[in-house]
Amino acid sequence: MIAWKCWRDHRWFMIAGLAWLLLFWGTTLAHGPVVESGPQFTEGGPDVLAALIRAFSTTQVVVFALLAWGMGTRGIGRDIGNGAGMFMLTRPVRRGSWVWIEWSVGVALLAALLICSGLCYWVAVRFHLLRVTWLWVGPDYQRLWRDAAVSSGTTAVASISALLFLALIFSLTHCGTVIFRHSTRGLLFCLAVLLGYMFLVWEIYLHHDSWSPYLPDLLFQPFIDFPRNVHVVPHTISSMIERTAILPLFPLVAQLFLQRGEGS
Amino acid sequence: MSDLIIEARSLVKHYGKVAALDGLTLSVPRGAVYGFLGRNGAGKTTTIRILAGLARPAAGSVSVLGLDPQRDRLAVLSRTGFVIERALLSSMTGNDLIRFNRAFFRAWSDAVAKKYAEVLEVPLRRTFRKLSHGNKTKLCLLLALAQGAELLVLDEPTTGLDPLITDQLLRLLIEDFSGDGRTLLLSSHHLSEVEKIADWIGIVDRGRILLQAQLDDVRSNYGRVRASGERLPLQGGAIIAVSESQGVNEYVVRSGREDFAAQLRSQGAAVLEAGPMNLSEIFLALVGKENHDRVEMLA
Repeated sequence: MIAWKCWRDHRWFMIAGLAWLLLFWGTTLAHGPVVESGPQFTEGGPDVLAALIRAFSTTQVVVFALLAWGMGTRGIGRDIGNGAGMFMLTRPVRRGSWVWIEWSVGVALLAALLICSGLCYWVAVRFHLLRVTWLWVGPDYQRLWRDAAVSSGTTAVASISALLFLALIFSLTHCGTVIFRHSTRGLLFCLAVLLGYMFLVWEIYLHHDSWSPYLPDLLFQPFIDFPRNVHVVPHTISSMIERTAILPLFPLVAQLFLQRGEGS
Repeated sequence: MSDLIIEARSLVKHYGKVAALDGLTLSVPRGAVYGFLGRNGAGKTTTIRILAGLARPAAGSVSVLGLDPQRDRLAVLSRTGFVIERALLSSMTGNDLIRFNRAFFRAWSDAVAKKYAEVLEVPLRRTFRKLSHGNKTKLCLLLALAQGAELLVLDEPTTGLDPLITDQLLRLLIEDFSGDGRTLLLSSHHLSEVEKIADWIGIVDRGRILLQAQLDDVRSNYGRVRASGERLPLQGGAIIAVSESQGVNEYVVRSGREDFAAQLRSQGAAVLEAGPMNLSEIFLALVGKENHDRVEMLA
């Protein structure tokens, strides 16, 4: 039932994410440069497609990050802040269950959104290539057909990478909202932590040439020169495992705060 | 099994420098309708929060249904209905809240929820945030009643309700809930409402219980004696409060008002009145007193 409540809390964010996907690919495929330029497009076809993929990847992260940010504010922290804490915390459920179920459902919904996004991307790019190939088959398109940029594996890795970033934003905001029992403060907490971390990274790399500790980038990019070429960055698997291991620390902290608090 | 469904001993709770509870002791017999009376800020809500496991006492012990609300929180909550604040999930409708709540309680009854929704005229299709204050209160009570609890703890349940609905609700509580032998703890400062339904009362002030007894015993034992004369006593065994006006002393005594009146007469005083008191007068006499002495349980 907590999961059902989570779904209710997040459903508009999901609908917004899916609507954006439909809008992006629908508009791009219906009115994009590919269709309008027809066979002439082949002059710079792969570049346009690469730019399109890059634009999608970038805007997807921004749009979904905003959604993850908003989703993190929903849940027990916000409910307590709105005065429903007495009601929620007098249900016979462990306090930790609220936090962990909310976190799991949130991450699962973000994953579902990214799966939909990956499918849209995969289908849309293939659909586009099919249409262009039907118009004119050139060597660049034949290369693109084989290119890993549109392969299932690349799409999956890029989606997992995006999920790790979105889950970080969601987890931070959710944790902050539980700690401060206020959704706006949760948002600001997440923003402050991210900006603080970016400043730390910038400061260390700028002023400590001789000693620079390993600080991972917030947004993990698994590929170099994506989508024209797909070179997987070194230590991709270990980086992903590392990031995955950090994520559950946020609900753990939130759980500790909720258990220590007195419920109002 | 103990005859006490709630037993709290010497509870102490501070919020900063303010002592919310200062050695409060509470004993609620199984099957009772217990009126927990006190002014705003007397310590009623803090006590209820401790009973629900939402707050930890700094000292003292508490048991609800024979369980420790901190250690056995889930067992206590699954068998007890708490209505502490009238705030539920604002985006959910009444029907959503029933659906949400149903899953938490084994003894949940949709039939009871439906019945109370009809009787109390709760609009279940409207979101909680759009309900009036009275309807919010009614929905909170409906959810607590439908969960099939052995013990129901209501904090100021009639606040914001009109007299008609208040009367309806109190009748339902007595006939349906308490009639089944279940226990009801009702915190309130509306003495007349409590007097209608309670069989036990506890009066709390400044974090301490001043009186805890069966209501009938309180009514029959507590009394007022008005007398005039010289060198009348200002304190003594049964005297709770004394006030003086125009040469007449008004005594509130916790027991034996006739004996006390006879004692005054023997001292040469003219006894003008020796009669019983209602709950409101007893409450004012106890709570209005400057220095509280602990009043023992009568029965």
